[in-house]
This record gives sequence, C-alpha cells and structure tokens, in this order.
Amino acid sequence: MIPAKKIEHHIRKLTLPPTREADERILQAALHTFDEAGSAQTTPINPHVHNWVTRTVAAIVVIAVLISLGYGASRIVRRLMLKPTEKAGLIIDFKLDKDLYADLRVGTKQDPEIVHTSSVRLFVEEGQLRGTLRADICSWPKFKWRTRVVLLDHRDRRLASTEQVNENGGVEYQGRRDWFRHCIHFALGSFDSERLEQVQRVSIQCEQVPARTEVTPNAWVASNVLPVVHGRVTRPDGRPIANAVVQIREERKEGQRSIAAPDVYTDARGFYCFDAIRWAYSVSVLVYTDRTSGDRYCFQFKKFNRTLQGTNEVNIRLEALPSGTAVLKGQALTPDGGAVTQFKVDVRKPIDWKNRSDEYLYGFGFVQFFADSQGRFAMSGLPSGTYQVALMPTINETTGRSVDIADRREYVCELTEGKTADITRATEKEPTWYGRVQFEDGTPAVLPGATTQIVEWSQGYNEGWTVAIIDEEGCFTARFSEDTLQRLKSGEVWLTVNTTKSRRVFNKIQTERFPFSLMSTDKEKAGLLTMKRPQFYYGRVVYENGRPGVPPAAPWQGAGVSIRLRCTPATSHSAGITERLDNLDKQGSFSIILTDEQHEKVQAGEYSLEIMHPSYEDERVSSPIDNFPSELLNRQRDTVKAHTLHLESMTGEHRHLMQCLDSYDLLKIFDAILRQWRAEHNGEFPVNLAQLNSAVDPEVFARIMQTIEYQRPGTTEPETELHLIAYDKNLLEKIRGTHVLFSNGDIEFLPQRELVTIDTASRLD
Amino acid sequence: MLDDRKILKKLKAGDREALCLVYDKYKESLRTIAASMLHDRCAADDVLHDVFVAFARKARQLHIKSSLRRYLIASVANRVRDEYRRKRVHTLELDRAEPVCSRAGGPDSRIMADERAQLLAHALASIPFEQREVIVLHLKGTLTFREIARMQSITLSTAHGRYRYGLNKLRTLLDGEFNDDPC
Repeated sequence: MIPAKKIEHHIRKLTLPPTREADERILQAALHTFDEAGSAQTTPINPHVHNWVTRTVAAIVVIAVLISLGYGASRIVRRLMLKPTEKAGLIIDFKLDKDLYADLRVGTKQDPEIVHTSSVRLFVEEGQLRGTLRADICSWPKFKWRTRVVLLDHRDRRLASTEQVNENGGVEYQGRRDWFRHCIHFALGSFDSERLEQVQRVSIQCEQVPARTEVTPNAWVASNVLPVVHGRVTRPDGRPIANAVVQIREERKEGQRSIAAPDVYTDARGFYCFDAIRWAYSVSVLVYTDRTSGDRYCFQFKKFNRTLQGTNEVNIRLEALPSGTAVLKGQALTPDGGAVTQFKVDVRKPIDWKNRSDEYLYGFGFVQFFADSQGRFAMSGLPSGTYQVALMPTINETTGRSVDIADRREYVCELTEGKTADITRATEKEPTWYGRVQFEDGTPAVLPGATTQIVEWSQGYNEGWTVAIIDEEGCFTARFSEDTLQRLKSGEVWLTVNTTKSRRVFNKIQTERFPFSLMSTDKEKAGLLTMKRPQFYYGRVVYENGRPGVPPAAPWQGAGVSIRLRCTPATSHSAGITERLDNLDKQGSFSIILTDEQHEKVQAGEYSLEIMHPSYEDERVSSPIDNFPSELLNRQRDTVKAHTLHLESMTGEHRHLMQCLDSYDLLKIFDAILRQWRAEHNGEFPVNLAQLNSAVDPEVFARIMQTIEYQRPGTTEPETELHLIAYDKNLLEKIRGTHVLFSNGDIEFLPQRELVTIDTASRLD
Repeated sequence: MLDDRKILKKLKAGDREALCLVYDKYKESLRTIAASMLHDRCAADDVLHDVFVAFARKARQLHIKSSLRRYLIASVANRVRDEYRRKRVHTLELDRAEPVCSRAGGPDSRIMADERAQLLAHALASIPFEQREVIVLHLKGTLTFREIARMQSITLSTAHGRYRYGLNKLRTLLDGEFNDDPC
C-alpha cells in the first residue's frame, strides 16, 4: 500500500495551469461589480476620518484595559495570543495528579516558529513532591532548552523551584529543524499535606539556551566519524541560497547511475550536509528561481564534474541567469495534426553529460504554461544559443487520463537575439517497435499471477518508466520519440524486462536488460531475448503469540505490512533503493518474485528484505520493523516456516505493539457484549460496567474492569452524533494514546491530547 | 506583495488595484481547490467567478474575523458545495473529466510528476464528495480539521474520519501506481 504521506505530499503540490482568458473574464466581472457597488454606496463618513476615529477609540480602550488590569493584562494577552518570544512563561493553577497543560510558544528572530508545548503532572511519591514535564519542540538538533518549574503560594511567593537544561537529540546536522520530544523528571523536595495546601499555582518557564558551539556543518563534520559531504550554495554575488535541492548521486558504473542519498536542501545560510556516503559520488545543485508570474519559472542546474569519495566540502556558486530578446513561437500539435490546447513549453540549455574536461556542468531552463485553443504559444525574453525545446501536454485530449509519452515533442532549436524562431510543424506518427522475450525453456516470458513489462531507464533518473507490457505470446510493442530513439541507440537510455506482481507505472529496480538492437519496426523481424525464469518465493511473518504478523483491518484501515526489497546496500537509515514487492495477506503470508541474481544477493546479505509495519499511532506512516531472513524464503508455499517478530526487543513504539493489538481485541469483544446487552434492553446502553457482570464470563468481566474506562453515551456530549464510549486506560498510561470505542462500533487509536473530551470524573460505576 | 490587512484597507477605500492584487494572489490556489473538489475545470472557473464577484460586491463592507485567505477558501468551499448539490457533478464520467496537473517534481521529473498528478486527480474524483472535500481543504487549503468541521457543521471526529477513510480509499485506488518510497 502506498504511504499516505506520499499521497498527501502530491495533493499539496497539485496545481492547475493558469488560463488567461478565464482569469481576465473573472477579474473584469469582479472589477465591474466592485465599481457598481462603489457608485451605489453612500459613505456617510470620510474613510480617513472614520479610520482615525476608530484608531483613537481603540487606543483609548486598550490603554484603559491595561491600566485597569496592570501587569496582568500583558500576561493574559501573551497567554491568549501565544506570540513567539525568546523566553516564555505561564502560571497555572496547581492540581495534584492531573495533567496541567502549558502551551508556550518560544521563538527567536531567526527561528520564529520554534514551538514548545508542555504538559506537567505533579505527584507525591515517598513524601517527595515530584513531577514530569513533557514537551514537543521543533528546533535545530543539538540546541539546548532550559525549563524552570516554580511552586507559588496564594501571594505568589516562591515555595520551591527546580531547573533543568536539556539538549535536543539528533546528532545529525541535516540543514533543517526537526521535532524533539523532551521528558523531564524533577523533584521539588519533601511536601507533607500541610505544606501541599499552601501550593496554589505553578509557574513554568522555558527558554532556548544559546548553543555553546555554533552548530555548523564544519563542527558537525569534525565530530562525525562517518564520511560526510557538505558545503554551501551561493548566488553569483556570494549570498547564500536557501532551499536549493542538492542531489548526491552514487556513480558506480559508467552509464548506470543510481541515487545514493535522498535529495537534501540547503538551510537559510546556504549550507547542506549528508553523511554516510560509502561509494563514489557526484554532487549537483538544482535551484528554482523566483517565479515572476504564476505561469512561468526558471531553473538552474550545476554539477561538480568530479567523482568524489569520502569526506569532501563541495561549495557551488551559481551563475547569473542569462536573459535576452529572442522569441520562440510555435504550435503544439498531436500526431494526428490536432491542436493541444493546454501544454507547457520547456526550453533548456542542453548539458553535455559526457564532458569530463570542465570543472562544472551547467544548465538552465525556462518553463512556461500555455492554454490556447489552436495550440499556439510564444515565449519571449530568451537568451540566444542552441536550446532543447520540449512541448508537453498537461491534459491528454483523447483519453483524458494520462500523458501519452508519444505526445511529448522535443526539438533542438537555435535562438538568435532579437529574432523569432518558429517551431510549428505537424509531427509524423512514430513507428511502432516490436520485440519478443521468452524463458530458457522456450515458453513466453509471462508468469501466471505476474506482469512482465518493458521499462525505460535513463541516466540521472532513479525511476524507470513502463513503456510496454509483454503479452501472452511473449511479444510487446512500444513507441519512442525521435530523441528517445537516438538516446536508446547511444546507450543513454536503456530498456529492462521487469517481472512484478502488480503492474507499475514507475519502477525502481533494474533487472534483465533488453538490448535495443533486438527491436525492429517490422514485426516479423523482431529479435528474441531469452532470459532465465524468475521464481516465486514464499514466506510468512507472525507475532510472538503465533498470530499472523498483520494488524487487524481497523484501526489501520488496510495499511498492511509489506515486504520491501532494499537493493542498494544501505549507507544510512534513509539511503538505498527500495521497491515494495508484496503485502502480507491475512495469514501473514507473502509471495515475491526474484530473479536468480537477486535471490543470490539476498542470500549473500547484499540485498535485504524489509518488513514494513504501519505505526499504530499514525497508520499513514510505515517503517521497517525487521528484516525477513533469507534462509526462510521458500519455493514451496506449503512448507514455509514462519519468521517471528520479537516485538519486546524492538525500540520505539513497536515494543508496545502487542499490548496495542490485545487492546484492540478486547475493545472488539466489549463492543460485541454491548451490542448483545442493547439488543436485550431496548437499545439502551448500560449505566455502568457493573451492570454487565451477570451477562459476561467472569474472566472476561475481570479483564474488562481492569482495562476499560467506560462512559455511557450522552453524559457529556449529548448533541454529537458519534459518542466516545470506552477506551483502554492501561494502554493510555503506557504510551500516551489508546484505542477508543465509538457508539457506532468503530475502534480508533487516538493520542492522549485528543481524549480531553472524556470526563472521567463522571464515570458512573 | 502587500500584507492582506493593507490590501483589505485599500479595498475598503475603493482601490481597484487592491482587488486585482487579491485575485492574483489567490486565484491559483482557489482554482486548484475548486477543480480538485469538482473535477471539472469549467465548473471551477464558474465557482471562482461567483466567489470574486460576490467578494467585490461586499468588499467595502467586509469584516473578516479570520484571515482573508481562509475567508476566500471558505467561500469557495461553500460555492462548490452548492454547485455540487445543484448539478451533482460527481456523476461526471472519468473520461470526460479534466484532471489537474502538478509541478511537484520540477523539470527533472516532469513527465512522471504530471502522470502522478493526473492519476491522483482521477482517484480524487472517484472518492465520495464529503471525503474529497475534507482532504482538499485540509491539504490544499491548509485548514485545520476544527475549521473544516465548523464549516461543514459536523463533529471533529467525523471530519477526522472522513479524512482518514478518503485517504485510505486513495491509497487503495493508487496502489501499484506510485512507488512506496518516502517523498
């Protein structure tokens, strides 16, 4: 299953190409209405006078309030508005054994968005007043925070205080802030009941402590034992560029590059950093220039043209983006001669990737969106020179579904200062290319229950693009643009034969190569590739109690456990090329397809099979929980030995996964009991848990009493359509979140902060 | 770019330029929100037209409690809901509907990004309107669930639920189409 985060990311990035005609029409109509409304309106007071009067009255009111409330006003205002300040404090009423919430927002001029949200619980243990403070801080790694807790009496005199300085985690300098959770335990001295009565309020203060040593890549590099690539990206005048995309690419073989690290971004000072680079690599920078209007933007690309190894500092200074007076115009047409009405034009300086003599490879480009019923376009302000022009429809007129790669047109165009270049031309229909693939035993290269597809790869891309599906006879047809054909012939673009369980648009893993020389435009002359038959391998995953290693359908809502092949040996927790192979079924079983070469590498430990488990706190997040041992992979489905997930030995939230699953089961049982009770009592809910005593098995009843907090619906929120009626209190204490049961039988996992609506005091048992 | 408060002040003083500024500033995001919810480009333009004409009519008397952006997004959402109820645009066939496109990947992955955006737009069109509305308003309109719940007169947990169910449907619909690597 695709991570929801990825879908969320793409929805956030969705945007429509602008339509000038519609924009003009709408704006004219709005302006017309605006003018009409203005002429119809009679303004009794001159707006300037009105503003002046309003301001004066407001100022008088504010001064009066401030005078009447004195210093307390500023405190209230700060509390209400939560303005970022360098130091924040809050006084709250003291309550023993209750969570006290202190929402403090702390920031600096440089980082106005640092947030410090705390909850404090004070309790008496062995005569000592102790407390626990929890805070979520969005800040730079390694920064320190001072937190002060003071107990006050009714005259705000100090009774006891404590102070602690804690450092954010995160040893890595990643050029960005992150969330850090702080949990501080403190003691405030011995308090008997008499002294406790004096405590009226609690003051909580927090501030960022200036870091003793400035966190810079250099300091971080010095403290790091792993190889580090770092540097700075600057403008031509030396000013830093923030948010530039730095691409660190592994270069292992000529003509076959793959990503060694995910893209990193420069921080506000232009710095970037990435660690754990094991292989030879190259560094390049991609910068998008500020968009001058909504439908046009520019970009620059600069690559340090050396292959590096180990720790290196690579500073990249970008060039001034050239401008000119050349104009490019033309018409976007489909192969049939029809007009493409919405498209974008990409004009870019071609980069000579094979050039090894220059220190840097440099390229830039201009992209503009057009909408025209005749498919016409004109781009002005372009510099002179030879450019690669690509026309790309943003909507496919014929299918309305996806962009057909055959519709993409690329031309090489010469632009001259002050002149207009015209690239209007009706394109010819591209020829169809044929090829055949079969297994060694002479059967067509198709496995039952799998898809065999032809994937196109090109240098610099980590994803392959499916161009054809092999049919039952082992044949396929594909179309390529003129440019792609040339690059196929030169080896810059190549094809592979991939066998996967589900049909993919994008592929990550390269398998058997299909030589382009075997392809022909004549079906009869199409060459034949003979390849080894990939094999199905089976496996099974179980939890410690023998139950299948998949969470129940809810609350994870189908976010299943998946098996992922990590191809490039991992150089850090986030590096490496991975592809999901299969989801575990309800029995915890899976089947994957591996070539002999892949299987050997899995056996040798060079590739790994990761078990991806969804988080119980957020089912949209999946993380690797364990590696599936290669020796348990089996060619026979019937004789599969299960791999056991030892949750207790795991770190993070997965340690509590078993309690979480049990909790879910218990709430399911409780829901069934409630349903039965309601069927026997005219749909009424029981008043309290004790009423269920006679209706339930004593053992189950004892477990329910120990675990479940129940609240009859309607006692707190009678107006809502959905009531929260029960939750697992033990789980809540353990992991600051719990499973909750709604009146309609839905079970969800909620974090503690969302449970404030449950009024535990009104529990009626 | 002028601050919204200054723009509003200018609008109240009858400055036409201020209206153009508001339109230029918000047209792209509002059109995308409307088009994502209706899955119909023409209908989205109509919604944008209605919203801005109504906005222009009462711009001089406007008292906005939240921000201008939120006010406009809420107006678009309300219009879209009216439009949806009136025309039942969700019955539009997928092949007739027009998708939205993305610039997420930039020039280096332009084909793939557009392909993804279109797959996503079609998937969005095939989930129930209520769920789509919450997803688009939350992710594209950056409204909180509380604001969405208030806007739609539903409870917070219902808004949460619609979001979760909608997202899971999208995941099912797009299974196998996107890779499973983090963004």
